[in-house]
Amino acid sequence: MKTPRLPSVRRAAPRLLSSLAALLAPVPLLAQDASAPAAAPAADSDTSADVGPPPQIRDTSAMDPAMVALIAELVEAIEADPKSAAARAELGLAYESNTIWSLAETCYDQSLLLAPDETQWRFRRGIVRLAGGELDAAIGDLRAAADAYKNTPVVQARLGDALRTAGELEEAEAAWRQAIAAEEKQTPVVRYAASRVGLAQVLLDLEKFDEAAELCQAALEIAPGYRHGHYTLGRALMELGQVERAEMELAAGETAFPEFPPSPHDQKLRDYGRGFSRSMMLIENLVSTGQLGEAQRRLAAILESRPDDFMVLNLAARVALRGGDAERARTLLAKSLEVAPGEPATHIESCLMELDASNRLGMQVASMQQAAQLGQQVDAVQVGALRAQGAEIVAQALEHATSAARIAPAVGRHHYWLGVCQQQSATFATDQQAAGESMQKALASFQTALRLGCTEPSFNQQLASLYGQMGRSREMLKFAKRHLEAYPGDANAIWVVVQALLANNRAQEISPYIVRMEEASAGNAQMLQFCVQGYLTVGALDAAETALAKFETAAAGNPNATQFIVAVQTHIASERAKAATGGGQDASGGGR
Amino acid sequence: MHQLNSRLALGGAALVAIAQTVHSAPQGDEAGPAWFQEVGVAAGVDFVHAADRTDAHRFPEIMGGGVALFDYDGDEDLDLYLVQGGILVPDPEGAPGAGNKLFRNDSTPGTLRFVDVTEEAGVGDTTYGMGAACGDFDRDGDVDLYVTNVGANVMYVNKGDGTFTDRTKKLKVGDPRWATSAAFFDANGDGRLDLYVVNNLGWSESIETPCVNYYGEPDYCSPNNYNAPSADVFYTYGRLGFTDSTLRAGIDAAFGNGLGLSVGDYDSDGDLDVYVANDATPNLLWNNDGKGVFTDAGLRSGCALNANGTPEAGMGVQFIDLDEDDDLDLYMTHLRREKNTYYRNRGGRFSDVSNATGTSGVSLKFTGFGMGFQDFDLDGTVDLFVANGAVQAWKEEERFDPKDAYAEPNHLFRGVRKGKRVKFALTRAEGTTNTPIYGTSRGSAMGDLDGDGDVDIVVVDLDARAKVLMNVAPRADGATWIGFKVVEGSKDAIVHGATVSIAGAAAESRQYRQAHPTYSYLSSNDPRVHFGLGSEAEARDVRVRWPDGTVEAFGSRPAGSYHALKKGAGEKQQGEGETR
Repeated sequence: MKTPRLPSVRRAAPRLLSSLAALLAPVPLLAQDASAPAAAPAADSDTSADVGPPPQIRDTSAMDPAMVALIAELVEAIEADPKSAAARAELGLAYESNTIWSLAETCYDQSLLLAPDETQWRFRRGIVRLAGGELDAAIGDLRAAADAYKNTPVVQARLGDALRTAGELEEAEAAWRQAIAAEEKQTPVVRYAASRVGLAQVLLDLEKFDEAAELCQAALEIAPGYRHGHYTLGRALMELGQVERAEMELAAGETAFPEFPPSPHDQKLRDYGRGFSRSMMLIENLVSTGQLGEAQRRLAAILESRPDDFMVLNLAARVALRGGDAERARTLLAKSLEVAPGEPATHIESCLMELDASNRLGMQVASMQQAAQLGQQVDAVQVGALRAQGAEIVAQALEHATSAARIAPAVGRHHYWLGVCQQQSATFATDQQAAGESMQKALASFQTALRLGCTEPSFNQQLASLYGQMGRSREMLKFAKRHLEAYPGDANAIWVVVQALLANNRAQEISPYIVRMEEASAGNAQMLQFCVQGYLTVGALDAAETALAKFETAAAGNPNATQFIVAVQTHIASERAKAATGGGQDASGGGR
Repeated sequence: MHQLNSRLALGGAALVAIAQTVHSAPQGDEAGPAWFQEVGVAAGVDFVHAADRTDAHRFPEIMGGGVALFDYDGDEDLDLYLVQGGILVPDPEGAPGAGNKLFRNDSTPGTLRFVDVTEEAGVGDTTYGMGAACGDFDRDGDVDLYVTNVGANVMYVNKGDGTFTDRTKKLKVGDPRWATSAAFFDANGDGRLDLYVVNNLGWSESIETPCVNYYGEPDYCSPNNYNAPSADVFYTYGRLGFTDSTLRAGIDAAFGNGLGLSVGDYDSDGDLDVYVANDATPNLLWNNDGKGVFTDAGLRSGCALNANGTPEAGMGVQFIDLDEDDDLDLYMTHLRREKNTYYRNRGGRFSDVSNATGTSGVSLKFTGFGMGFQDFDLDGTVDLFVANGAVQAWKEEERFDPKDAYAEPNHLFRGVRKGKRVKFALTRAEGTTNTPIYGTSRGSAMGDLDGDGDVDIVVVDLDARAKVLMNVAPRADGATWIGFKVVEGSKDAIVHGATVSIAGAAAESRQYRQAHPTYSYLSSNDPRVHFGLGSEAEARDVRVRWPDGTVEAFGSRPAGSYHALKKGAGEKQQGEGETR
């Protein structure tokens, strides 16, 4: 592996010192209680002599240059003012941010020797001691901090967390309750989901399930997408015997990570998080939360120092594609393949890019075909041209997926994407036979992916859809149900199961799914439209009418919606009329 | 014990002298007395693991090192099989790497001695090895051996004469993917042992990708960097041999970066279920419908993710009834910065109550792999051994061993029971032996190697000599023990997945042990179950719940020896245990 070359730390440090003055401005103190001891002035120079040199990593030759430069900068600041507890704590924050717990702990030790009453550094030392596995010592520090900062939610919460780890549940409960109480004393008053879920976790350990569930629900009102809240609620509901709801909450909370109320040190910890991996992870997070501009800005900075890194190029391409700049994505991926031709990840990224383009053409073709079926005039030449263009793009996608599967044949997702390309080829096929052959190939690829294991979230749904296309309804239902098991709260997943049940002539089983779908639709017009159709299929006219009203609200302003609404209303009226004359279904519609 | 090798008695006598000294007068220091003494070299175990580590930090290099304890020659002692790494990406034209080794236990009373019999037994596979599973799958009275590899796995069928035949191709069980743990058990109640094989990820050199550690230095990746978790394989054994039943059994429905494996009837419904500890992906709990068709119940049963809903880096795992309520709990080891997790079973639903064990704080600092609960000090309460070893380098300033950036101490936690709950206290921070041994430990297997009635341990460290840890745990004078081997059929084939219980010291209490060799990490353990009895002269009211859910009572048995408990020989308990 190529060892990254380091910049000269000595040269880099003075350049950075100018920014250091700003960084070394006193860290905002935790909300100090009136009763808390005032921070003592820094100790005299005799004390500082005992503190020792700032801890440093001896061999930095292979370390990330950004991290090395940061540490050098902060060490130089300490050397310039060895009596400064804040400067040493600043280095501690840098180590802590980069998860070098033991050196962070030493820095906080030194800060506390210089300023014994500066409890915020005991607080931080407690956190790094806990992370480093020194549970008793961590609790000692956090207790001291919690005594000093009774009204600071994060301090109480961290103590509660440490006590829970030690199995001291009653004391942990008290600390978390104090965290919530402290929120009321902030100006303005704050409410954190993390505090409520933290307390709920202790209550679960104490088998107080009702209150735990209530707290999680309160947390989810504050932060509806808080996965940790969903997962903890799922655990509580399971204990309370509400199995179905519990399963949905557990699935919604899968891969959760606990959080804490905000701390005044958070910004510094974020700023000091250096290093390539950390930067890439942050950009991934930005992309997943749709902050493409910021992601692009950060990527541009990384690309300056790593212009030939395939991982950076691939991520930049993904961001460009998400931002609608397909040309830039293409250029970046081409370069990535040039610098690392055997990298299967780049082939998959390239495949996804081509599939994205082909999808848009596929939708155009499908909509033109639909129009033709409705008797509208459609330009056959244009359809043919679109098909040809689509087929060409899919062929490129297929080539990339094939390369990935050839380079790393034991990876399930490579075969999955190969299958998706083959399935997509069927969309642009010129005749039924070619389409059938493509689907057969897709099925073989999906089955390989299935045997190997495939991480793509839509895998089972895609497989269900392919089986549906091929008329294999039993298999369609099997994989639609598998997908729903993984995503029990996803309205679209429920709809696929409904379609599969209908394909299996099991319409009598769809009612509970339609009810679930309506609940999960969250006002999505298309899902509500499916619900209306589902209710009509089982003759639940009242339910259809209710869902139609919701659809009307959700689709307000959509001119196509009116046609659907009128058609449904007419149908319902006609069914009711039939029932009234004894020739149709139950006029009540059977309810739900 | 094997009759041969009396010429080696002298060395062994010296060993025993040491062991007796330590037992009777444990060395007390601030750290507390050591519980083990390393005797590998003296006992003739000259196996040195070779991980083939390179600067490329190829992922499998850091994961291997399994071990199996099983009685391959039927002489009632535990022989030792050590799985070698070797060459990860062999040159087709080049020489093969070092192979696995089988050591026959030639101990005589008072003398622990192993002899390398790999060549004559024919079990020296040179594929880059991971782990091993042992079981008499064909029920012919001798134990067969399955070896997992980065590459095709190998099935060695025991011929019953001290040699094995490689029947991998004929039995079609040589899946070429990277496999880790494996277990034999009867999944469908037909009396034959089926085979579950855990796969890690679809690794090949071409998916390697550069990763850095906490310091920004090149190091081993997280498995999720590869985004290539692999589905496991499940073979059923029937009249026609093994059949790949992965799809039919529903094992394709969930997957992960699999490492650890344990088998047991967690829901007490009379069939054996499977738990797979995955590395950084949700763990799997395969709930058996009794016919060998499985559904993943991990998430809804509460043991796929920790209490926070976070997938952890599952490594070693064991089904164990820690709270003595007649159902199987789960304990598993994890990465540094994750605690080792204890999932308590309450009626088939698990709660992560790790914090109640007392091991959470210590485990946060280390990366645990091999593990196991045994009553090492014979006081009637199980203790816990954890083999640690990092997967990302410790910085020079933080290292335990200046020469090995991944080395960590192993840990022994003493169990202290309060009512039904047991809490564990670390005995020595710097390891389990008087002279600290630091290594990058991986597989560990437990069993009574010298037949003296206490449980010993074999540990494999990456790129180091295998460690044979003889039990010298401090114990009360007159502490007693008892062991059981659960068997069935005319050939007394060992049963996998029965639960043996005995009356406890406290009124109406019982101790339970699961009789299955697959637990820990990549390892196969002594298939017998072992109880410390404190000062009891006998084990009272011995009962076995067989894998099919039926229960038989065997009365009392005297302490101080191993007893066979044969299916059908006990008194059947009506209405108890059957598919509750």
